Amino acid sequence: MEGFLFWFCGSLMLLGSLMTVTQRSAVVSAVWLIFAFICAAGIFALLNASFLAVMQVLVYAGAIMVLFLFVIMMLQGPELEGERKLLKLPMWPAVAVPPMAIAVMIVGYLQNKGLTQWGPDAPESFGGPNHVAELLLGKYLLAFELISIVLLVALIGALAIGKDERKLPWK
Amino acid sequence: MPIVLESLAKIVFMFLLIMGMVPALIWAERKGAAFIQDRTGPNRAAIGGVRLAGLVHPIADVLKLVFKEDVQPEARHKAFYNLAPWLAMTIAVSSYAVIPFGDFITIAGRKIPLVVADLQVGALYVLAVASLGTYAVVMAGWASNNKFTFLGGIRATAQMISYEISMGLALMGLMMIFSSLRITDIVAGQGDMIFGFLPKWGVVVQPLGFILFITAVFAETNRNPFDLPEGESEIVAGFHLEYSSLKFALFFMAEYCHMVVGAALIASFYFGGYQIPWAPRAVLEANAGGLLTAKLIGVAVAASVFALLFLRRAQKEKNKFNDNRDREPVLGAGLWILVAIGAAGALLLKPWTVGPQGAEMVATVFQISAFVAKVVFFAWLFIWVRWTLPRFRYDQLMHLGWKVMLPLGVANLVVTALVMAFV
Amino acid sequence: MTAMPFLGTATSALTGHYATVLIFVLVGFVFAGLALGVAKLIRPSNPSPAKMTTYECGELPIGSSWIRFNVRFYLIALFFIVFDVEVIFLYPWAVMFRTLYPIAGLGAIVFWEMIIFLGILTLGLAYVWAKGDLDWVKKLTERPENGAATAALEEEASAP
Repeated sequence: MEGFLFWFCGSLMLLGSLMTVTQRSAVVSAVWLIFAFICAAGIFALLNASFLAVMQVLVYAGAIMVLFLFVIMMLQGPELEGERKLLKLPMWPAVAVPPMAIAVMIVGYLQNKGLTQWGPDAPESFGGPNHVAELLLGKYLLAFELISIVLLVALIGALAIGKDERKLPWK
Repeated sequence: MPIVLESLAKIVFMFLLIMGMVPALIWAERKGAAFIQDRTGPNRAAIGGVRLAGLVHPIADVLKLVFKEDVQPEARHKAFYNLAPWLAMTIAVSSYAVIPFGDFITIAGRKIPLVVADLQVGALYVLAVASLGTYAVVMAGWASNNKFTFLGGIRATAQMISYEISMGLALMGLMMIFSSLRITDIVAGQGDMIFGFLPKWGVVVQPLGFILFITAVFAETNRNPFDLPEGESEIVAGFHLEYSSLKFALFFMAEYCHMVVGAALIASFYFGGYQIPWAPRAVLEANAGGLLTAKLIGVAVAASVFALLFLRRAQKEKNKFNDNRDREPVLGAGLWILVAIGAAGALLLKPWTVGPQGAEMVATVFQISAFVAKVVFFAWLFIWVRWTLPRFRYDQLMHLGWKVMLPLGVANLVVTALVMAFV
Repeated sequence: MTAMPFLGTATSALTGHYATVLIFVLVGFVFAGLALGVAKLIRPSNPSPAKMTTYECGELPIGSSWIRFNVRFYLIALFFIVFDVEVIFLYPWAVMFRTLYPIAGLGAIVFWEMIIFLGILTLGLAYVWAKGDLDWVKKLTERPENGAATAALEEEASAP
């Protein structure tokens, strides 16, 4: 079952990522990106990292929503101007990497070691919120506190980006 | 193999519950609106001249919407235009997977928890699904390529964004008290008592959190007073303006699905879910026979009273319309008489001698009914509020979300931590 | 690979639950899809150019609707990301607070590190608030000469 689910989520995720980089419309790309992230959440769930799985959806759904807004804002229409030029450049890695990744996985799967070997089942608490909390409040305490500073800087940065608004005619 | 069957059975049960609740709620919304606005409400649709107090209307609506032509704007983005209502319905339904509707039942010696999927992070799953729900709305608004729908979609995003944080902060107080993100744990924890007499319901231990949460739920379901994405007076119908036929119906049903989820979440997090106050499961099981007998007698008496009322009306309005509608009270009386006879007949089976196996069943049924009763009450609250309060202005919405709810959410968290630390 | 039991299993209860959720979502997806498919089969279809115009209350639409809109929506969106990430870091702490607090020597640390974390973020909120970026309707300080025009502008600014 795990194997099936892994292939299910994994292949859909590859599809999503491929579509993200090959779509001409940036809005459609953004939606495929969300799809890929949800599949990634499925893989996290398979790895018993339940907290990460939900976070993946929660944060990226929000963050991509913002990207979505920016895309609509910046581009005005569904089609990217000069998208053909843009498409030519990054096409080859987009086409080449996923088959390579699949090949690596198939080899690993056939040999049943390395990438696709399922370890012994972790206890249910592994990867849950309690486990994450122990790490965050213990081993990675400094990083945890630094995050708040990073977020504060991000907030002030966001304000700086939106500063143009204050130059609007009625200000 | 029994595990598969039991999972599938629970999934089917949940879908039946949803498909039963949604038309009932649509009916309740219309009748409730009519009641609040002092008018009759839907009473025209009829089967063979019998109107069933407007209950035929949801059926008529579905039939109408299925057979309607789908009028689509030329300028739409085709794929997203078709995908949006589909996604809206799917996402609205997926929240149900983690809501516990009862404690457990024992069948063939196996304890079966009455929740489809008991996720370790169930509370966060609900939040994640709620945040995904906006995509359907934005997608619909953007794909229709219409200025009104577009504004509706953008409004929905900004609204979701502004209230989601407060929702998370409000729930966090509960998570601290019950030390779990698992909804079944949170519900089970609410069966305890504090000071020996007060049920440890979320609303008792987190009153401020409850107010924040219920406000955020109203905002996330896009219901009045937060229905700015639809805002009829400003942007016609908002995000679903360009939708017709079954695509519109799916958006409509998704809204009611969200309402039921919202009501179920409020009940589960803050009103003890399936817990009956002062009657934990052990008490229910110990007194199962007496409770069952009392319930049957109560049902029989109530049904007889209703039947009598209907019969009196039938007598009074014998020749009111001079067609089939005159037989409606008789039909109602007949149905209640059947219920009364059924309940009285069940008494003959000596329910007071119920065995331990049956006692557990009885306790489970009582708990499920408690849960359903709470959900129905909060669903009614949604309707009640919609027809009582006016819509917010946009700046008021933003002010409430960022300047009132967010600081209050943080304050609630700090106070909860202080109380837990020093009391 | 050994035969893995299907849903909600003893060996991997966690994966089983997520598989159940997946099936639940798929059932919902198929259900909505079926409804759409059936309706598509039985409903009439006779589109005409007039029917297919974009609805703008009877007016003919001018230009595309994929327009730029109020920049305040982005500011709100960016604030949201910051606070969303903050809240997410709080969840593990909230779950473990009851367990960790009674432990001697650890409880105070757990409490205060969260107060510091929250404090820094509240500082951010206060900064944004003081800068006036949480106000949807901007105060018009530089053009106070005309009260009526000010009111009209304020009205305009409040409509997103």
